[in-house]
Amino acid sequence: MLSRPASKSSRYICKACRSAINASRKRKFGTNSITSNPTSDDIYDVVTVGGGPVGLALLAALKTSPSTSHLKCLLVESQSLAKQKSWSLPPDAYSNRASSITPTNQSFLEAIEAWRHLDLTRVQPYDEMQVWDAGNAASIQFDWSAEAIKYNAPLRTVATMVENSNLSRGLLRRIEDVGAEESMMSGWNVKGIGNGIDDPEGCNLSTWPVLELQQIGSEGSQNTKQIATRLLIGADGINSPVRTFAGINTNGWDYGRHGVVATLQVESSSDPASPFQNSVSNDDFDSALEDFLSDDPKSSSSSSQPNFENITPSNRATAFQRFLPALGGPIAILPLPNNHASLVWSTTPQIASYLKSLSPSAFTATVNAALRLEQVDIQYLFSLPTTISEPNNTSPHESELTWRLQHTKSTPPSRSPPWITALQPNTIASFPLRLRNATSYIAPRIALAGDAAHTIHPLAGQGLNLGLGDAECLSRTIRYAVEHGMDIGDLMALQGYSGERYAAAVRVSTGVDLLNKVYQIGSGDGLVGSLLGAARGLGMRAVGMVPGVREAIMRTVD
Amino acid sequence: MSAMFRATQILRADVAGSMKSMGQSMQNMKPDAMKGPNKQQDTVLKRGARRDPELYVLLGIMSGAFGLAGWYFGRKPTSATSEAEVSVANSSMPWEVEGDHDHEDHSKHFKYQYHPRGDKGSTKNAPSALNTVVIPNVTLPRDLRLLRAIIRAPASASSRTITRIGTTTTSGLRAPNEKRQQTRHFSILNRPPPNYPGHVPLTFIERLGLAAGSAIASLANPRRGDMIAALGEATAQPFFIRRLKERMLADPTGRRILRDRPRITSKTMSLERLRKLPDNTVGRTYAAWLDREGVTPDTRDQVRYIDDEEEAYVMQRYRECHDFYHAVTGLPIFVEGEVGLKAFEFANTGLPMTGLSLAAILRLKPAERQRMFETYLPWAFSNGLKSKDVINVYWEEELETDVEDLRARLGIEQPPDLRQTRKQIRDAKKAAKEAKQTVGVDGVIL
Repeated sequence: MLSRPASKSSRYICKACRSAINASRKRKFGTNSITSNPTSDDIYDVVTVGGGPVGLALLAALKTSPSTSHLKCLLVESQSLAKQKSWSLPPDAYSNRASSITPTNQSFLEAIEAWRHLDLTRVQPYDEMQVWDAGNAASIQFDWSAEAIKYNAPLRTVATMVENSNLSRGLLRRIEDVGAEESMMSGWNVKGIGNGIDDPEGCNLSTWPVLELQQIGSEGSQNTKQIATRLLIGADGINSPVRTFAGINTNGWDYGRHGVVATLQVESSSDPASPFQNSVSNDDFDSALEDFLSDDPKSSSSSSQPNFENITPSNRATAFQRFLPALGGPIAILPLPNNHASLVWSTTPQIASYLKSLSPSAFTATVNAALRLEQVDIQYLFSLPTTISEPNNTSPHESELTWRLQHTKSTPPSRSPPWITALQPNTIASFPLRLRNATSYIAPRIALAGDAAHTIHPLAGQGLNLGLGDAECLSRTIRYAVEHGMDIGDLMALQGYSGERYAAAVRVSTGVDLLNKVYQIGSGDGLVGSLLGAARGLGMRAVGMVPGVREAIMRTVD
Repeated sequence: MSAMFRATQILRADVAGSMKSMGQSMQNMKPDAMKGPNKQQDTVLKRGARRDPELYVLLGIMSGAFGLAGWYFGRKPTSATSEAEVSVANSSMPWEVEGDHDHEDHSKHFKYQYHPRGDKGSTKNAPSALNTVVIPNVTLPRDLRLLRAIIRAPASASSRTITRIGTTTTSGLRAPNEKRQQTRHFSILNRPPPNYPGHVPLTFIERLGLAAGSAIASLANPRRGDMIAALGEATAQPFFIRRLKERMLADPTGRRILRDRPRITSKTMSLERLRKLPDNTVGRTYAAWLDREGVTPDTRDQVRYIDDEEEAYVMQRYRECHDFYHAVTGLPIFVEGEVGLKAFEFANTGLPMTGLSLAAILRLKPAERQRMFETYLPWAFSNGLKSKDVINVYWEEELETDVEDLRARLGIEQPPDLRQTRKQIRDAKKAAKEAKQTVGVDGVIL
């Protein structure tokens, strides 16, 4: 990794000129006190800043592939990765940050052999997504049942719900498995990024990023390090210091909405919601059909009524999303094992703070109302006081819910959303929703991945999936560069990554943003709002009825 | 045979002769000659038959041929190509042969068989697709939903038409009306059951007809309160009454009204009690107004044509409170006052019937129309739009509040008293007419 020795380099440029070039430094971030190049111990091939799922997946992928496993890698993370590794929750408690992983990313995780390190009893694959609108009576259902019926095959998974901590822990276990534990520096902060110097007696690292790291908890200049790297990867979140160092701007806006997350307990329906119960649907279908159509006299007697409850081809779980245009965004209930579910509700900051201040019973009543009642009723619930004053300790939200359920017409989706029974304590949280896209994902010796490159609305659950796609593509790009003898940090070597991922990310983020906008207009009541709501309903029905459109949509996010 | 031919010849000659004689006898025109032509026609016929005896033969043959053909084709109309007599070997259709199931020779098993539930020990015959006829019963019991799915085969295989009924829960907090989809189309011959007592579900065309007919009838005779009521119900659905209901639901008092469902009838509004209230209260004004106009709270029709039960209550409430609006604004009951109040209600509630009622302005006299456009319509629209929703006033609780207070709270200004104005104009006109008469013609005092 060292460049040519000093004697040879002076053949081309004299020392004075090299010192002059030194004087002009172009890129920097933070305080740059780099006066000498790091020693060869501290010169790396790939340094990833950020130990989230994307950074960890990239490191695991690099270490798994034989072509890139020899690269000297480092992962810098400010939080404690040991704590992440030792994360554990009891089987009936689930973390409130859970993401849905698409089958493509699941195959990627299986290919890097990290999937088997996940606690698979805590993941929930689901086969169907029910989407409907509070402003009209249309609903649409995303699943692969058309293909399943056509090819007489079991249902294909739409996505799998995985807790973020479960994923991180699995990746950390895989990294340990592969023997790359030393490649991770947890508890170190990036104090500054600059370029190396063109050392006349040493290497010319003037185009190489040099990071100044400081261990968290120590002030002053103890426990600082300077490391240089051939390729610096920024997987460090929306306010990425690596991106700032690279001088890459972002486009985007804040949605003015907050995403409220929580873990809920739901009532079990007769459909098996867990993949570990006996899947009885297919056989029930056969026996029911055969009993009905056979000529035996016994089948017509009332004692052996055929059971037609489960006629769908073995659906394991369903995700539900209801658009609430008047309340700021959609509410989504994503299934978790053991009759749990993850709530993601995008709404205005006022409603978010109101929800966080509710008692658990009032909160569950409000969530049930948000899934079933008209928008005017849900809006009224937000004006109720949050303190309980009724004698029998029921919140006014529950009594309103009971009364309005009697007068609300039945909900449109063909599979009704689950009834929320309880809230797991201390799981309500909210985060602001933003749209950001970096103007470029690459720069000389810099690559951005994950939220540093793009942040999107959680409407379709694609944020983490795009990040994992980035990790997969970047590892493939690095592998290609190594196998073809290229400098992995060279801009031309990184062009493949940018070409593949930029378009994909812009497509998904624009699509999700447009969908969000469509479901935000017509949020007022009145004639115009209702007409727009009816128009949206027609659009939704059209998408559902034209054959192939749903499958095309599902394929783009698959 | 030759004699017959000869007979033919003679007959033809005879016919020619008799035709001539017939013509002569027609010219005579004697009464007894009327019998003549008949007798002669009979004679002609008999002669014709005798002259052409082969006609009988032809008749006989044709009748025989057609009769034979008709009998042959008509005796077994459905089995004209019956295969009953076709002899078929027993094993020529192997799929129909009941094989020997214990036989290990699987080459003899021609019927489609399968192992139910994957159980290799037992085999069952697959149901025959050829001979089984499934006759759909359109009102299937609930547990035969599978069949309903087959009957109403969805256009695309990927859409699901089965509505799952919510499972019962112990907590009981479940929407009981998560209905299953209707299996039959709503038509005149197949009306759904009523949602509340007195409900009459109408098809779209019936509603259109009701709207048109009641609009014409109420324009022709604005005194027809029942036609105005029917017009209101026919035009309020589906959007306007829902919007009014949502306005009630958005307001805390409106929600209370929807929970309590109070009704205004002469039983619930005791007029004796109201008359005893102090003069400036809402209740007293209401009672005074009812007495002045000579109406009671019972003159309102029941809502019949609105499908949703809660929306029907909202319509009923609106109708019953109409008299309170009269009392608060002071507009009288004749057409001019009603039109003014309807304009106010249109701006305030948005029901289309109130807007359509403004067509009654055409029926007003020119002076009344002028008053309407100058004073009352501007008052109605400006006040209706800026004041609070009158549908959300809990009148039963406001009976003892001061009228001015209530008007101030709602933001309604009182319009000029229409009765007073008209009385003044009438008096002035009468005085002017009397003055003209007393002057008289040629200065003679009459």
